[in-house]
Amino acid sequence: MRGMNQAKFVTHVFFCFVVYAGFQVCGAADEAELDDEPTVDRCKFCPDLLNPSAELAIGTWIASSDASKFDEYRALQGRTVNVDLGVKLHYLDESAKYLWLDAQQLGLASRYLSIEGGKQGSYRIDFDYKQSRHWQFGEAKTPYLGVESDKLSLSDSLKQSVNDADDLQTIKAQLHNIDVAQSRKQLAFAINKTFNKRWSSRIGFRYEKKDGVITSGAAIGSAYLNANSVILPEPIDYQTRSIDLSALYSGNILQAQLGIRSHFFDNANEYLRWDNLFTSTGSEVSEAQIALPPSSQHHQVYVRLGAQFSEKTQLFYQLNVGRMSQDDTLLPYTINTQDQSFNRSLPHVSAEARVDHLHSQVKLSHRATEELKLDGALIYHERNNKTPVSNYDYVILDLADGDNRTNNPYDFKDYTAKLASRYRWSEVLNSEVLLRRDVKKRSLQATNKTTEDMLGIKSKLNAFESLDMSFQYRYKKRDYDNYAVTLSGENPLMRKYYLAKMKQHYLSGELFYLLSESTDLNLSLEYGLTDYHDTDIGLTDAQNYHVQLDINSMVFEFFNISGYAALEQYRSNQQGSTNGSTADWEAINTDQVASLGVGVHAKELFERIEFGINYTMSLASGKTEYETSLSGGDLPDFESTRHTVNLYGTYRLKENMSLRLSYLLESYNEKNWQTDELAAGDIPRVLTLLEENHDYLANLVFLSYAYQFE
Amino acid sequence: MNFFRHKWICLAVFIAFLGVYSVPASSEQEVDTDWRKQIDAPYTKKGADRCLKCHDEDNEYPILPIFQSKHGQFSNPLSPMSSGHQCETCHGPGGLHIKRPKRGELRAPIMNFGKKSSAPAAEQNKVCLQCHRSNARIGWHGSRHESSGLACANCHTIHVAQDLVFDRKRQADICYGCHRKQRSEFQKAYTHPVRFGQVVCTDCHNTHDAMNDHLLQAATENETCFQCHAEKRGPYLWEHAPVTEQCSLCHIPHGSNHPALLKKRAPLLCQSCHMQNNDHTNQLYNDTGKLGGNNTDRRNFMLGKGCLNCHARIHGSNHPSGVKLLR
Repeated sequence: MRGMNQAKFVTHVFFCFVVYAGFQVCGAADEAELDDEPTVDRCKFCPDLLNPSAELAIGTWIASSDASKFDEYRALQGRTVNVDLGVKLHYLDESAKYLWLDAQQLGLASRYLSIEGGKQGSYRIDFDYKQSRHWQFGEAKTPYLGVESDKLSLSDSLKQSVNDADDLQTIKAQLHNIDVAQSRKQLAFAINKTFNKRWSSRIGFRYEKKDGVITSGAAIGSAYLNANSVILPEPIDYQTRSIDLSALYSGNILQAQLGIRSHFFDNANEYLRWDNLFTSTGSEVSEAQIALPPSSQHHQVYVRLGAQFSEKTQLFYQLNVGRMSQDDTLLPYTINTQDQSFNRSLPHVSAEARVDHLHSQVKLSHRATEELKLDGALIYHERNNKTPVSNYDYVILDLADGDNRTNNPYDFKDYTAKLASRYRWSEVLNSEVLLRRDVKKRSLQATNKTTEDMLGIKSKLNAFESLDMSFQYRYKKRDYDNYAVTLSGENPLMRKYYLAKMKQHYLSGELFYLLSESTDLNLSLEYGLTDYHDTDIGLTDAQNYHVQLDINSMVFEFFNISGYAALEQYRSNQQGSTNGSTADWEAINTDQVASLGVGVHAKELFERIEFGINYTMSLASGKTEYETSLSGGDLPDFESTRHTVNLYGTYRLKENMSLRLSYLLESYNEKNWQTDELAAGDIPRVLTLLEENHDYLANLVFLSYAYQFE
Repeated sequence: MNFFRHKWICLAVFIAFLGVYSVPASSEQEVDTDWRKQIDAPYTKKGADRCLKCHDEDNEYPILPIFQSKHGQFSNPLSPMSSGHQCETCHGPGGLHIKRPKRGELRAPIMNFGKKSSAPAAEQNKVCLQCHRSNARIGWHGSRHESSGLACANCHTIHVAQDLVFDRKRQADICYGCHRKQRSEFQKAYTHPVRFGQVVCTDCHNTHDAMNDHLLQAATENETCFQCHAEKRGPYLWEHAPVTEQCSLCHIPHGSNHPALLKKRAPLLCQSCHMQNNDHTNQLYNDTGKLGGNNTDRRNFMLGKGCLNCHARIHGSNHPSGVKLLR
């Protein structure tokens, strides 16, 4: 019996041992799955997702407002109903060839098409087409005919018919409506060729056509203070072509890019001519002419190098050398043929304008220790203006002799040195110190050399697992050796703010707090103070602050709430003098913007529904107050208010079919005392385009159906 | 032999070993976050096949869409999938991670990416920079984003058919994750059309670069602006000095309360630099010049476009009589 029990015991132990060994074998199986050498070239369980797929979406936009400000960039073109189409295509095959196509908003004037295709690891072709429309304002009013051409004409009854503000009021019936809008069409094409792991090349070509109308002041007069002006619809007919060729090298230590870039800008119109509406300036001038932006070219060669000497040390170098030029035929001093003394020869037939520029930058990045990282950079930027300097015996506003003037081709040399050191005190605390010096030498300006020094410190603390704080302070100072005004008659105490001595303080702080696993809060504050301490006339000081609170909460896995509230203010003081010497007035300009946004988003509700609601609000005001003993008071405020509510939802009918609906309600109100309710004759010697107020209340509904093909 | 008498002994032994070698239910078991433990780990033999046993279509984080993207293509010689280590090319050796952890122990770590990763950004970025080193990333080291501890995966999503950063309608939202101030700036009355999706952040900024101030695409601010506003480039016969230096001397590119994204409106903006004793430059343009004010002559310089009613060619003039930018 005892022997039998022992046998049983041994049997069971053996049985247990087998079980134990089984586990060991399983563990060993884990070990057997390990390998340092790559042997895998395929994957059994990798899903085959190479089936081409396409999505077609067709929809319609219905808008209740044709206000230009509402449609500023929406490109509905003032139409109530717009049919829309979107297409997506995704193709990948086993030989690594692929094609991606994304075309959206094909029914609108803001359509775009993006195609990328090629063979991965070999070549890639990109084709992009983009269209956009900027509608500045609709129902502008002008008496001029021939809008969008380079000659704006008046009917015979209007030519030189206006003598004063009363006469301007009478022409109201002869004004007609025009749109002030610009549209752009951009085409971009690029081929990237990968020769091997190290070498690749890129050829890119871009073409842009911009046309439409913008506004331009156009004055005629015998003296600057005896001039009349009209705001004209200036034609835009621009073409821009650019080509970019580059070769790229990517090695383990060295990366390099060498390229040539050329940019050609063509303006189909060299000038804008217009009939003279006014008679009070003198009957000699029946028409006048203003120059439009010249056609120009820009060519540059560029080099970018990056060298990783080690994990701790990297060196970068960038060089851009180029030339901007334009050589448009110079227009005559005037087209007023009545006064023969204005028929003077020009110093040149064409502009011969040319600016050579060079931008060179070297940067070294070195991790001195595990905690300390240093970055240093030297930058040289030169603008060398080679436009010929000549005397121009110019004519004032087509009616009077000007004094002989020499053109000023501005150039500068800018030297910059930067040093940054970052120190990691611990896992939770790191700091940074920044130093920067800019020395800029200029020609033909009030000061020939300015020196700017900047010192900055930053610190970031991850105080607790759920709390991050950061802080930044920067101090900047600008000095010059001497300052002498260059314009004749300029107040000698004037200091242009970009040249003036100044001291600037900038402070910012940010707090990120994780309230819970799903909710975070971010508070940021910025404050800046600039003191142009040596300025009596001009900008004397400026202050700005920005406060923002952001909250984000993933209430449930599928439900998210987010919001932000921001307040920003920019305030500047500037002084002026009506007597040519010390200040006798001060203007305090205060711009303030308060904005708020709240959004709720839910996805995969009942496995079919996604929806969201967003509300945004923006309230802005601009005040100008005066402190002066001179008569008069503060200017009215500029104000703008926008409220937007956006509801959207997607319902998945089936795996490959969905409906999308969105509704937008937006109101916008603006007070702009410079343009509101202006009628012809309100400005005695200027006829504006009498643009309408921009206010609107708009509803926009979008409904679309999308189908996926696989 | 009475098997059933000793069954309890065997059962006890069985349970004891079961407890020691806990069978992992799935990939959702808690994972060690100490990324350093992965450094000396070996690679698996089966690569993606091994990973996909646990990280399948039911994975909490969607994995499989990567096979619709370039990163997931075997036939792409530059893709991680064709390198032999497959998933481990990016996520590092998973030899310890696939092992069943003992009871009470965490599963060995494996590199993951993004904000929730325990690995420092520099370590995560080393992976991406193995391949994505050239072109726009040449200047990455020492760049503002790199020194702020930003990982590539903070902005880029890899396990998707198309990275959201390339979607023009969604790119700005990704940037607003850190650049919160810009979200409110683009709500101002006059802005670049970012909230309409017609301009995106990368049209002006190169997010990977160290070289240029404000991470601009071109070497200088003006060159960046001239990409779309070439008509302002000139060079003009009569130049306006601040235009040749920096567009942002007068304009705020992200948004402004004023038309044309100006810092202030004329005439005050112009009077910051011009105060000539010639009767109109140095005047006090206050409420006497508004509609209803008693100085109707001042309206000529204040209403409409202000100074630009006459000085239309504010960016420069190519007209021989354009001395004061009037022509």
